[in-house]
Amino acid sequence: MSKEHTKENKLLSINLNENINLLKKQLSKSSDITFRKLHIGNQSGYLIFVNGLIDTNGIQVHALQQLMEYEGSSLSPEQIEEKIISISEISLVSTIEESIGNILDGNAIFLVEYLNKAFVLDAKSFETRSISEPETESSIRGPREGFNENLGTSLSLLRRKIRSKNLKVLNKKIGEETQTNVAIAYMEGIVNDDLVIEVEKRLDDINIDGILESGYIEELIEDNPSSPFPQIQTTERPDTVAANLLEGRVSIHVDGTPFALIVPVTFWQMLQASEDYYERFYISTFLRWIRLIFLFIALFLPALYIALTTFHHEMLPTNLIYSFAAAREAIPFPALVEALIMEISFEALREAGVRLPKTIGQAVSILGALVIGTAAVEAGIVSAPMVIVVSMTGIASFTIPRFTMAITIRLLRFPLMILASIFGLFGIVVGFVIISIHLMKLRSFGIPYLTPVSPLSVGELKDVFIRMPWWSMRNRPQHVVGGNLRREENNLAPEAKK
Amino acid sequence: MRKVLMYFLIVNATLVHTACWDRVELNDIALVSGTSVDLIGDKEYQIGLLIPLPSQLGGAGSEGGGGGTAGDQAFYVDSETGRTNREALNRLQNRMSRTISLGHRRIVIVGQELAKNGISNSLDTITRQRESRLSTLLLIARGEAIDVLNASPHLEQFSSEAVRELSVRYYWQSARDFYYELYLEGKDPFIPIADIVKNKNNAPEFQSEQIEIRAVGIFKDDKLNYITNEDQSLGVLCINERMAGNEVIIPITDEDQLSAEVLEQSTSIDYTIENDRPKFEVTVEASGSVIENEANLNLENPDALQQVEEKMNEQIETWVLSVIEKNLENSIDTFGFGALVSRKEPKLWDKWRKDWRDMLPNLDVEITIDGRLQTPGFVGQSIGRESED
Repeated sequence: MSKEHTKENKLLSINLNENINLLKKQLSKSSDITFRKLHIGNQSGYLIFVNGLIDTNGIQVHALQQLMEYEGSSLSPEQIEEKIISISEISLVSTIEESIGNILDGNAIFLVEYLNKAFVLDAKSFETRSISEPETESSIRGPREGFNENLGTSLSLLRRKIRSKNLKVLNKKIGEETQTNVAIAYMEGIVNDDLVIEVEKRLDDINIDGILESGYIEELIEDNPSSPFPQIQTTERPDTVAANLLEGRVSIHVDGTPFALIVPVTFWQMLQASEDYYERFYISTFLRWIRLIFLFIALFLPALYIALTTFHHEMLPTNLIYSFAAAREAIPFPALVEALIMEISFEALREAGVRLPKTIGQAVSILGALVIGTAAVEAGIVSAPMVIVVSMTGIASFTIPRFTMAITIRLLRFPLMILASIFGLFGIVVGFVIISIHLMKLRSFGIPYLTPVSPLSVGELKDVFIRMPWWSMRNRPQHVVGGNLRREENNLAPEAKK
Repeated sequence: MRKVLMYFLIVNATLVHTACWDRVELNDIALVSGTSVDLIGDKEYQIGLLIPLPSQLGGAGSEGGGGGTAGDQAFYVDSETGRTNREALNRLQNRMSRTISLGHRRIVIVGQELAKNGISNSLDTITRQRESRLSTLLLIARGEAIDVLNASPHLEQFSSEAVRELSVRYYWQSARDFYYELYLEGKDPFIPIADIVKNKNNAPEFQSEQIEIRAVGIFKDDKLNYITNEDQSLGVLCINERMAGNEVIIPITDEDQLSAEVLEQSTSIDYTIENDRPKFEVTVEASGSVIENEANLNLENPDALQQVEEKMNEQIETWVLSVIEKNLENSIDTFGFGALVSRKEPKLWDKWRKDWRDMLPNLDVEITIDGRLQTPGFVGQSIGRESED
């Protein structure tokens, strides 16, 4: 939040009552804020905090009890800090505004007579979800822990992965009303400093009432806000973030959501799972190709089916077209309508499955599969080949590891289907060219989206269509690293002892 | 905003105002699987169409709902006459509720009458029209071509499919191959013959008409000259290197035969020029394995095996000779002797080209057969029979 908006930057006075009245006025009608009056020897003081955000027991034992049991002459601020209050993090602030900020942050504020400063006692303690497996990015091999809604916990998970002094974490508060804590993490010495400056600049430019999820920030700092493609990677896996930081990228963590943002990102990263780097490289390479093939299936299969069965009958093998013709014989709809019915019902089923409670969700998907798969074919509403096409497409879209990318692909196949129904294969080619041109134009924090394929960088292709073994990927990705390019020593390939 | 509106209008205009879309749903086309061409009278063509009926092909869902093609058979055959192929087709279209689509035509059957009068005229549309495929198979019917379309072979759903499968086994002659041979100097084309035969079964309810391919029609330019007999057909197979997989029945004595399966077979044609006249050498190489030893020879004995080989070579030579002699007699160059010379000796060919047809009957052709029997099969002597020696 920029400085102009802190209008009431009023300093604390040495008059305790005046301070308290000001605070009470500003924090009026907030029943969850406690003003606790107390005496330290002959001085009076106030302890102010929000119920529920504070470790009540800790405050009681380490502050209240200590303060009230003291019987002696007046104390200097240093004495209070060093002798009386036994709480690890303690600091002093001097304005009303800062005091209120700290109270709402979950700290306790201690005001004392004849002192124009307030003690900030860090005793935050509130209920958080425990660390659990990230559901959107589950893996077979790899760590099972995911970030949670607490920024501190999330950063600690990251710090546990990278125990380096080079891991830097910058803090920001975004959201005029929500005052959400946002952290920028990067590896000094690897990251491109301009990138950090750019990230900070874009975050500083955000001036909004509230940030409730990292999606708010994502949409506010993208390079091309109207593109359907995600230009920022979201993840709830600490290992994914750590790997990206080590490659010179920057992560943005937002308090209140387990989803961290990673910038910059390329198209190919969206097709890579963290597991690619944990499995043997043959398997990872194979899986990457499967994903690439199924990416095309997810995007083009329904459109191809429409184009081939309504325009280019000659392009199908004769026996196949007889089967298609036999299946389509009693279908009352044109191929496009048939495809739209199926695709839209599939999307509806998927959406229903996500929103419903897990137990009901399963019932819905079984019911939907029955309705679409069997009943619709038997009733002669859709043809069996179309059911196969749609289910293949559905499965294909789930092979894309990043949900944001998968949903984009699913969305793009609708315009392609319409193009195919109007212009046939020609329409599909036109659609493909438009998408390709858009992808080539797209940038993520200045990095072309298709790097390293376009612009071509041969050295970095080691980690795109194939995943070379770790001992051969000696360099970090050139396009993003600003500092040390070297990842590992030469000759790390294990050799058999003679 | 105005820009967006303008884009919208442009896109809208291109989509809505382009009157005809090429879109044709699968339910609205008649996928023709085979056509027949017959000559009726002097200058009238009869075109027959074989159209598989999707609803009878047994796809899932084809039985439900309304609409759809109907009938007991899996296909529908109709024909119409016209002064040209296309006129006949257009007249056919008038009584077809679905658009005729020739994109999946697999065979074109030409009646013998038309073939004798020359077929390139009536096949022009195959090369000219967008939908037709040059990979379409060409066949000659011994009688009327439409009868072949009408036949309902039992192992396939319709005749075109049966013809195609049979062609894979014996003679594969696509329109492209035919045209290539037709326009190649010093080579005459040939087209396989589709015969209709009754299957041999004593039970009347199992008797039906089946399609058979075992002879070829030898062409002189684009006119059918003669149809090969059994020996000549095998000779054509040998020279065209299609013998592998077929069997040779070798007469050992007047009564006893021995059968061998040909495993590999190749043919080379070479020439020498003597006294300003070409002399051709046709070498047929074959290797096979004995699969039936009715003559009860002891094939473990190398002499006996050699004897059989000699007899086999004689047999193959009879076939090859029979077709070559007949061809030369009729001044036909099915095996491309002239094409070989034209490729290797362009200068000589320039001299001979005009008189090539006249030179053909007097050509010297030497035939060498090199047949080997690699194995006597799993047993040397026949089991359960006394050896003769």
